[in-house]
Amino acid sequence: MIQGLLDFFQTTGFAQITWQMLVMWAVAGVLIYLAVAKGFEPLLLVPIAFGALVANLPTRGVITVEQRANGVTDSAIFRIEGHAVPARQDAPAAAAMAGETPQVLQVNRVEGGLFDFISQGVKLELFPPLIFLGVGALTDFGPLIAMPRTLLLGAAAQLGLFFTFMGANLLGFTAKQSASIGIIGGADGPTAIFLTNKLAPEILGAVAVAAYTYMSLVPLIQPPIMRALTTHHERRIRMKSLRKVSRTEKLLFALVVMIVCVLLVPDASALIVMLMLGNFLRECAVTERLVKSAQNEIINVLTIFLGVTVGLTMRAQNFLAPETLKIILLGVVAFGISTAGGVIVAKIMNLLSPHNPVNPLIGSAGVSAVPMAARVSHNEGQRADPNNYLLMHAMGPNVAGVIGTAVAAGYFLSALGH
Amino acid sequence: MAFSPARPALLALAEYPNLGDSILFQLNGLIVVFIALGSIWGLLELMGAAFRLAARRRHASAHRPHPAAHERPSAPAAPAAATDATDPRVLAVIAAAVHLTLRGQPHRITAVTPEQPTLDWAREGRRAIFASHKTH
Repeated sequence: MIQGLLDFFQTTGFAQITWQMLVMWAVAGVLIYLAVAKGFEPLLLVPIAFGALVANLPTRGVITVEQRANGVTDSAIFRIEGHAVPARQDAPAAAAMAGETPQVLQVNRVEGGLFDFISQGVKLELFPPLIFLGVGALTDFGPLIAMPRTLLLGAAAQLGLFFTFMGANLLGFTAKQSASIGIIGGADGPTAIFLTNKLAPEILGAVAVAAYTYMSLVPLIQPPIMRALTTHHERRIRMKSLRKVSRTEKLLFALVVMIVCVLLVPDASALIVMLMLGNFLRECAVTERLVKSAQNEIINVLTIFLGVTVGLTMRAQNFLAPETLKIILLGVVAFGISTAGGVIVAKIMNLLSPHNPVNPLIGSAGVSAVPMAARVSHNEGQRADPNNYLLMHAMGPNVAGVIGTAVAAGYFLSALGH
Repeated sequence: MAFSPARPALLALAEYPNLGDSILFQLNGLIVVFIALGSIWGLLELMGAAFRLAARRRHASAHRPHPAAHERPSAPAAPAAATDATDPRVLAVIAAAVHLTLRGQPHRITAVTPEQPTLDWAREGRRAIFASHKTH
């Protein structure tokens, strides 16, 4: 009887628990604490933490994991069982002309767990562009159109991406991995996931966690850098009121940005096209039902799927490695340099255009953590002058940062993704 | 239409590039980002100038005296429709709410406009996204 119970115990999950799993439970616990108790990016950190916990439980029928010959763990694989049958008469003529006997695969059975299928949304790069549809539908580009020179601040805040690329290289990462780590500095989760999945899927979990953790820590990371690089006088600069932007201008803006970015970096097309489609739907004012769906149902559903899928990549075998620590350290460097880049370029702009100055605090909003980075600029401005309202001014570089990060990702993909 | 361009040699980076190649790669990347956003800036300035000019023309023509206006007897202007927002009690409630929200910071309410009921659900999405980020 005891042997029977022992045999049964071997079939339970308890027998498969390892110390690495326990460490990952603690990591998931920290993420849940940050999200629930501290309110740091709860919409993303809760699904990510939950996914991380599930990935480190001995589950069955949820997700398939296989160890490859080279030691790399591959997850979210589903099997298709079938057999080849001769094709019908209307089979592709090219194969018949080549003298081959055309065949088709007749599928008998598809085997996989729930998240083997849901994870395809990340593997096939569907979720990040679809989330961008929702982001576009939620974003008002009016402040950017009213003050287009803040586009430069969005570009300057990409400095951290490229600087960190070099740092990661020096620490022994490959060029593709370095680009994926550098993109953390853009503070744009969907873009980071999109790029990393294409260039270095083996570090997706660490990059996504670092990106979203630092995005949630924007209010802690950015203010000391902003204060260190600006004087009290600069923080009190009041900016001119923004002009009102017409609907036609906003519609043209969506088309212009899409065309320019796709022409310059075609590899970022999926992100840019969906971002601008969402924004066009919003501004054209005749597709209200579609906008409502993009702003709420689509983005919310995909956020759950994306978060859990990213969390599921955080298996102990992949995550508990010295590289993860390096990625997390490099991520904060990228973030800090991007913040500094935006502030410094804002100061340079003031030197070149002293009669119409910008408050340098809005430069830090060039990292694209929308709208949190803009709110941090606003809060810092109000610390120096409680009657100074910088929020709408900071939204300009903030949304420019979204475009800038997508362009940077397109550059990395053009250079490294082939 | 999809196209697959040949990759120029400048972009062909080794898996472990040396420092010089790495710096060149970064500079190229920054230049690409600045060109992209700089071109959009230029186009937006042109677009903005055209729209501002058109607005000035519309404004000028609207304020030009209309010759026929003096000949027609003008109808008495309809009194402004009373809305909930103009009710002094509503204004008092709004002012108190703003005061509480801003925790006594100096402020001035310059306009009170009615909500557009058709955008409520869209606004709720934006409100939820904005409220989900803690900044202090």
